[in-house]
Amino acid sequence: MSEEWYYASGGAQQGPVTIDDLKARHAAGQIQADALIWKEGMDNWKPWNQVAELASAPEIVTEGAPVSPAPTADPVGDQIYAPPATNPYAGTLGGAGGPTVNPPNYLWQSIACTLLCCLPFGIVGIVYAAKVDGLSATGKAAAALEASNKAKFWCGLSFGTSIVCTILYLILMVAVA
Amino acid sequence: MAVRKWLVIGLALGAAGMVILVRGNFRGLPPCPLHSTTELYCPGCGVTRASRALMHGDLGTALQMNAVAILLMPLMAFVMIREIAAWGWQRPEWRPGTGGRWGIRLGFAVILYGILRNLPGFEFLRPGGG
Repeated sequence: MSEEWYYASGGAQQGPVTIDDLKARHAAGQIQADALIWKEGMDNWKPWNQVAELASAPEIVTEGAPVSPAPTADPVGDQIYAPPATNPYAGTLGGAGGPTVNPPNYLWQSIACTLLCCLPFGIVGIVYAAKVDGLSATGKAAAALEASNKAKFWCGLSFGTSIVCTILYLILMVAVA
Repeated sequence: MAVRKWLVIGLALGAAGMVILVRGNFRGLPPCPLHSTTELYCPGCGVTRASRALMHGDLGTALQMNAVAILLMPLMAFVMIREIAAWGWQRPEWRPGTGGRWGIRLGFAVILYGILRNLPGFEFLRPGGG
């Protein structure tokens, strides 16, 4: 299980990304050293250089982009990025009118798996995927995230089984021929 | 990690190369294990034969094999390309939208299609028209 990280960029929440993605984006200059970071389990958004897992990463200071002082001293930062209560999908981030970030519903993936991977698992994926948006809309963020993860799981199972079957088939064909 | 990006480009070129190579003398694959063991027609039954017909430019046969998959193919290609590009280039904002209500209806329509194909009286939905 890889952890899902979120970061704030340009007034909007980005993610989820893996920690490797996060470091890569930081190295590419997409995330500044004072950008706010959050992952599940943290009780508040923290600037990059105060997150223990990330502080060890070599800091790349891009020229012409001076590193601003730590945002703990920046009252605006606290207002813009409200701490997520239980998980990052729960509320509206990025201030008034900002985008609400809901968990991905994996609907397209489920439909594609059902049609292309030819397995009943895709159908289970569709059923869970269909629940995600409704749960998000009624504020049941934890349930929405759970449905999202289940849809993801069944999609992956469908895709993986299909790949394994295809490879076994090819081996069998070559062996018979 | 630029590895992902090159993986995506490599796989796309490989797939395109394979289509060019097998086009014309692609005879299809062995029968589907699900159908041969259970006699059931799943929602994806006929997609391989439909793809083969499309490679030969025979849209009529392709539609007979799996009309839903062929009709959804442009949409599926659009969302899958966005999804894969978002993964490869690590740009979450490229990911396709959730589809909203219509996406959910589409999902259940695909399931319904899979059920109807197996019912008597709906043989015309099976690959080849039953």
